[in-house]
Amino acid sequence: MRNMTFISLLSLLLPVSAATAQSFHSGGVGSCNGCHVIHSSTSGPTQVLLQASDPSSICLNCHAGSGGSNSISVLSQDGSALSPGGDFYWLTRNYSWTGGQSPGYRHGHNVAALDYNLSSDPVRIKAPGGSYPSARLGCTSCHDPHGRSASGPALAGSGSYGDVTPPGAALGTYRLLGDVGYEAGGSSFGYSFNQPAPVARQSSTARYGENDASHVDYGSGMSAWCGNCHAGLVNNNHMTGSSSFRHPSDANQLLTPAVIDIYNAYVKSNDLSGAIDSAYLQFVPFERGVSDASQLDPVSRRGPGAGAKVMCLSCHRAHASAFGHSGRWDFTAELLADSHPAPADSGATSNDVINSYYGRDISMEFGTNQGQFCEKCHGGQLP
Amino acid sequence: MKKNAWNHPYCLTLFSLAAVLYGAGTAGAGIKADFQYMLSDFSGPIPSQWARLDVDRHFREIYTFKRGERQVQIFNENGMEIFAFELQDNAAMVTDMTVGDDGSIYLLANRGGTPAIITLDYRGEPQGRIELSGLPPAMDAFHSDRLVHRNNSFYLLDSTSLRIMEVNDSGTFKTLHRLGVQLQNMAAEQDRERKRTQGLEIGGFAVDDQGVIYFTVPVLFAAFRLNQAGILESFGRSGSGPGKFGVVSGIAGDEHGNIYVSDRLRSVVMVFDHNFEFLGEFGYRGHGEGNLIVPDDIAVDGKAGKIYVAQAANRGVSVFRLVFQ
Repeated sequence: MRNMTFISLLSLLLPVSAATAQSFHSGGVGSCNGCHVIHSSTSGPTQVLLQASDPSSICLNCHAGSGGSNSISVLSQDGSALSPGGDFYWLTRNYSWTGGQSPGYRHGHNVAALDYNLSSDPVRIKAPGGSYPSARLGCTSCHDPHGRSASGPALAGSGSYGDVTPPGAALGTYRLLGDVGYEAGGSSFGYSFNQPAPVARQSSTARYGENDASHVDYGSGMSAWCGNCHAGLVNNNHMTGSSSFRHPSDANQLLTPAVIDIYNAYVKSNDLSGAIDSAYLQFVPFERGVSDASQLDPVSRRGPGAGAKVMCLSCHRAHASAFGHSGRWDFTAELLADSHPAPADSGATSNDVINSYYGRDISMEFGTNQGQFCEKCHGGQLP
Repeated sequence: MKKNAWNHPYCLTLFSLAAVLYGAGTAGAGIKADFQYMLSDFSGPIPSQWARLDVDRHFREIYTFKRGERQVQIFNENGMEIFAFELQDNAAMVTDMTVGDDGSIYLLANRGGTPAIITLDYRGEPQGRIELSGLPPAMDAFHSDRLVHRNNSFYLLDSTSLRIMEVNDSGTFKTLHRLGVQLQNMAAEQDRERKRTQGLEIGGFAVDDQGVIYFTVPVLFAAFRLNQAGILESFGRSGSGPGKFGVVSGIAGDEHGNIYVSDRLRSVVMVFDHNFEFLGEFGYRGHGEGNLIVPDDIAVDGKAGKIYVAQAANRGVSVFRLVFQ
């Protein structure tokens, strides 16, 4: 009996030891003390030993701060978190100008993180194209804070950087995105993912940056994964009817040869002198159509080839952007030089203007006549 | 020259004997922290989210910088706003602010990745721009995000490349501390699988009047002291009990060598002596006047015995008076 008790106690300790070896987000999570307060210092409400207003506020304890290509921040105070997903800062910025406005809540996913002044979507009550309630949207709606929900071999490292899986082990999903069976927003909620985490790879030297020469290289499955919450938006046809325009984006939406040719030749409006080896544009990423992350190259500037696909993130950012609809560019500006936020806008700072296009001066680089980046795939003739 | 009573060892002993530890917002045998007030104007406490803080040690004024609004606010020693202005230079990204010994305001500006220091007078009028010079090779990739001015030197931090550069008042290069190898070795000792070596980032950053540099690395659950001889020391253990580190953030040192560390997760400010012995902590998450919500930057006015704590949740800056036993 004494031995059994000892073994039982030992079995309780083992998961803790294994978790400790995992460290922060290297595929899983092991530093319990980074998120959970075992000995609550106050008698106030706590949720699974999380001492914060909500789970997203826990995430932002580490992921809020100044940005940079190696900064883990996704919430800055000036739009400087220029990660591929974008900066939740934009949700806090409301812009208006003569004849228009761009309210912050339309700039991205309205995650609730009250400690950081982020609140739920004031208009929508559920996800567009789905049923996920807006009031429950938070970091853990998409990211699995403990790495991977499904059972399987021990996680040996991150799944974000194309690492080779050690024998007998597994890697985490890309950016800890919820996999099949992930209970988004908590197990008590009962909302389970049915689409697997996408295949993608980020540079291991600039882990949180994005430019034409260093970016997330997307492989496959991104749009289908977004469909875990937005299934009604993941479609295979242009939908124009009585509803608003929708771009095809489902998992089988290959770029046509004509689109591939335009992408690779397009440099800027009225300039199709480019070549495939330098065609990649950070504002219009695409999936290369491969399911093995080791075949992806996040420092390649090569444009799409056969098998490449359009995806939700070809036009949108996953977190937030300076523009409406979480667009990678201002969908409402006929000429991107006229994008908002602009210097004269009410509510705009100079930092906002600089960071809206990730530090790139669109007029200087692409010209004052640069049109919508839809042209990157469609040239001057939009369908 | 008038000697500062705080510097006298017998006075410290008297303080120790006289002080009585009490208050729900304080734990630990070595200090007592009394909440004083929030930084305010005539309408009441001024909301702010993780404002940057610095103290004008000559006039006992506290300066705050709200990066999102690009606004500098100046408060007197009683915590009342006496002046405020918004930055007008629209050409540069301003990421930090520090106060000079003469009351000048220095802004860390970045444009195209090149740091520069903009000088303003106390009314916010531009006085000039200090360009960095004499930099060693390979400094082009130095993306500074923090700036501190102490004793005629500027200290610039690149928090993700783990480097600290010191230049003189004219911007001429003095020295560079490359901390990457030491911190990565420490990470490897903590984690044999070397997973934490990826993504190390400095959180809090401060320099005291003696030129001693303090900083925190949250993922290592550790705080650091780098003295002028270049010796790096660390302290701290992860945990949720008193004196343990959750997600450490802001840090500051006073003229006695005491070290103050804020913890975002535990919502406390911990105090350690110069031997890294835990003296006590105060705050704790809550909405009481002495509580804290996700504290970040801290500034210490040792002569006035005050500590300023910037918080999240738009809660503003809380001011405490510290008494050491």
